[in-house]
Amino acid sequence: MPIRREVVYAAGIASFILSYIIHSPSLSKPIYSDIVSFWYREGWSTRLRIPYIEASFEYPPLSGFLTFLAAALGSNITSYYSIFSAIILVFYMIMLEIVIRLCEERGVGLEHALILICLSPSMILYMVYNYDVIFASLLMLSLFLLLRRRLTSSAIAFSAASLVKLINLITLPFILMHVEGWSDRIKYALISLGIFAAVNLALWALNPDFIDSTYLYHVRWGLENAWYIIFFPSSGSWDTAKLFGMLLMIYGLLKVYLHDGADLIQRAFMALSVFLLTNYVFTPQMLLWLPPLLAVMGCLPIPYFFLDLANAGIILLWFETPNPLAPGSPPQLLALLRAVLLFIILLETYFAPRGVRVAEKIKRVA
Amino acid sequence: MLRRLREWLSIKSERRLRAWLIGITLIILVFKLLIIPYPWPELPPESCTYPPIEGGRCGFVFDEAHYIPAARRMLQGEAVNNEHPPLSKALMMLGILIFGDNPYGWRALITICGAASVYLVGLIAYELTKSFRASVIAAALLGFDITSFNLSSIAMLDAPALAFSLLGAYLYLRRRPVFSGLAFGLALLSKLSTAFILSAILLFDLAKASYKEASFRGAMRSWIRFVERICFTAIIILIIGLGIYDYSYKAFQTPFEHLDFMLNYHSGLTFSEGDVVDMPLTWTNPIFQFPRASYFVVAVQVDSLKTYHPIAYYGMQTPLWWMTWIVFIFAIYLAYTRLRSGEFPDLELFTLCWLLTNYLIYFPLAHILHRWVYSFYFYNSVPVIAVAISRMLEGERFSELILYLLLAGQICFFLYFFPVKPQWYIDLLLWLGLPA
Repeated sequence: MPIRREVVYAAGIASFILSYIIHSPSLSKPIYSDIVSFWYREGWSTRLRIPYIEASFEYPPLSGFLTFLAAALGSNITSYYSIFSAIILVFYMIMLEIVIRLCEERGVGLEHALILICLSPSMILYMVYNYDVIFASLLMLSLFLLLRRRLTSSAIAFSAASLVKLINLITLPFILMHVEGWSDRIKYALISLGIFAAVNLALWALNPDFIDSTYLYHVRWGLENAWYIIFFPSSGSWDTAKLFGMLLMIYGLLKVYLHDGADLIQRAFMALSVFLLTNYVFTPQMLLWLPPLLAVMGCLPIPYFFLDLANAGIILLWFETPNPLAPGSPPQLLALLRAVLLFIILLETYFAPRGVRVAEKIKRVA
Repeated sequence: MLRRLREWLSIKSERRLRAWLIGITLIILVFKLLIIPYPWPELPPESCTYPPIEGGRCGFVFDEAHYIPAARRMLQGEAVNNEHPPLSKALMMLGILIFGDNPYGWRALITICGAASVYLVGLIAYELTKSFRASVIAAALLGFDITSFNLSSIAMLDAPALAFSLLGAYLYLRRRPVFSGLAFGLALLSKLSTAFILSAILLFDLAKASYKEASFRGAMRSWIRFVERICFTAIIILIIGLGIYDYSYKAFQTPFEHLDFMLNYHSGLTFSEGDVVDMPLTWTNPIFQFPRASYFVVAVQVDSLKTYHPIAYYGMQTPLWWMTWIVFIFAIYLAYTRLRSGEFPDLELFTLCWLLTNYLIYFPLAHILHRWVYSFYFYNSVPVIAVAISRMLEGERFSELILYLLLAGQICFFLYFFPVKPQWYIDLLLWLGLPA
């Protein structure tokens, strides 16, 4: 029986409510959420400071702006949390609508969206958590608009996504390859990078420490849930580990950029998967970037169920483990399992066109 | 009679070329084997294993003072000299196990690697030039390069590293990428700086793919396939080798941590103001040369006037080294003209890539990053200069004359600075009024 879009929306809203409740600061023992921690960390209960200008903030400008907006409108932690959750809900709904439309256009059943975006444990645990749903939503919006050939709107959405998570920039090469004609490509690059650069330059002019405290801050971060911690168990070797990850990332991204048989959505999925697998930080909420793409691809790989469970388990065990970053600790074992499963899915996606070609050949011979 | 001799000496087939190359290699090998026992140690191994070590009385030439004690301690199960990968030292250990803890044991296998490089350079030259004569001359130029000869006759890491790298380069040119990767893996396991030679091959292949393929995407795709075969194989071999060492000696938790240690160690070797460093330009500039480095010199004073050196291992410029910039400029010019005529300049680009990553790279490393550099690092660049100059000067009477003069100069330097001189030879030199 085909699933109706109303069912998907209903399930999505239910997931959101559940996510809102489990992280709510009103609970006596809520599950950790970055959003809540920002409020306490920034000391907004006593004095509201403008991120990037009056205080450093380690996420790109649009993330900081939305956080500041929620803090400015909310007078206490509960109202701040509720407003922030409402902002996430808006982006989540946009993402759901885009995914549903793309699925309908491509003849993909909505059960994919239902399972991957609404009912998955990771989505429930990490939705009201950080900026990842906002990023995924803006990324999907830019891809959706690009497929509709609305280049300017797509480029604006692209730069917005980059202003939420810098990593969006890795998708630019194949987006530009997808745009036909050099003049349109240049236009797309100018708009998307121009807006991104303008916002960052303005903040840099206002605060010269902005680049260091927002972007370079992450460079100084150590390994977190990266599978290759098994090769680099002592933290003294993590600079080399980062170099190792970066080389693998360059190789993986080149393979994705040069892939012939994949469409825009598949390439976005593969590029983000490569990033997640090779970056030295793979926080569990980052996994939320992938389900909308998988849903549109009409792909429900069996390993994904285990991957999602392992990913959910990371945060559930994080605060129960004395040193969750230590190699061999339960969260790191789950992170390793997650990486293996994601790698399997990535390989499946990468070689799928070849598989189709082989199947066609066999059919022809038969 | 003369015609028959000329016929016999001419090279008209690959088989004949191999015979010539083997001949030159054997001559070099014999020279190397003859000098192995000099200097012979005065002190027993026990006194030359742990610091303080008296290099001279222990019979160590140059950096042997680091590597032979390291090989000895490794034989006792100790993890030492971890800043370098273990294969060259493992060869020294194997030599010690076969021939005993004496100069034969320390140097025999390293020496064979040094001689093998001569043969391999000839083969590489043939793959790049398809000229029998240029290949033989290239091998001879390297074989009689006295500094290269000295460095590859003593127990250091460089000879095996270069031999495996040359094997890798040859197999690459023969289109055997996986085997090439295997050889490069062994080279990396001998000395980490062979990564520069591997990067020259990568760069050259990228240039070749860009020329051959119609689109940039096509070129990149074919290049990535090549990188996968060569680099991945080399890295896997390196990691396995380091892993075996680390596991056996309990040196590091993982081979990756060992790699991290090596990278940190080498990037930390920087000089400060006031340190005397032989900057890279002094390695090739005949006017402002780096001072001749005495690796091991024994001086004998006969009377107050006469001094001679029966053993004298030097590191110094040779006529071939002076050709570096000529080769470099000619390679750029010839590459340009051949590209314009629609031909891919194999030899010229190969030379440029090799020089770029094995010689020119030391300019920014020394001048900007202040990394310690040593003139013997040029050893890795010598083969490609030998190959390039042999081909570039071939074909015209005048240029060939220069080529033969260059070869004669190399042989004269070789004979004059030969590190171990028998008494009759010293007497001859002194009789001729030359310093010996």
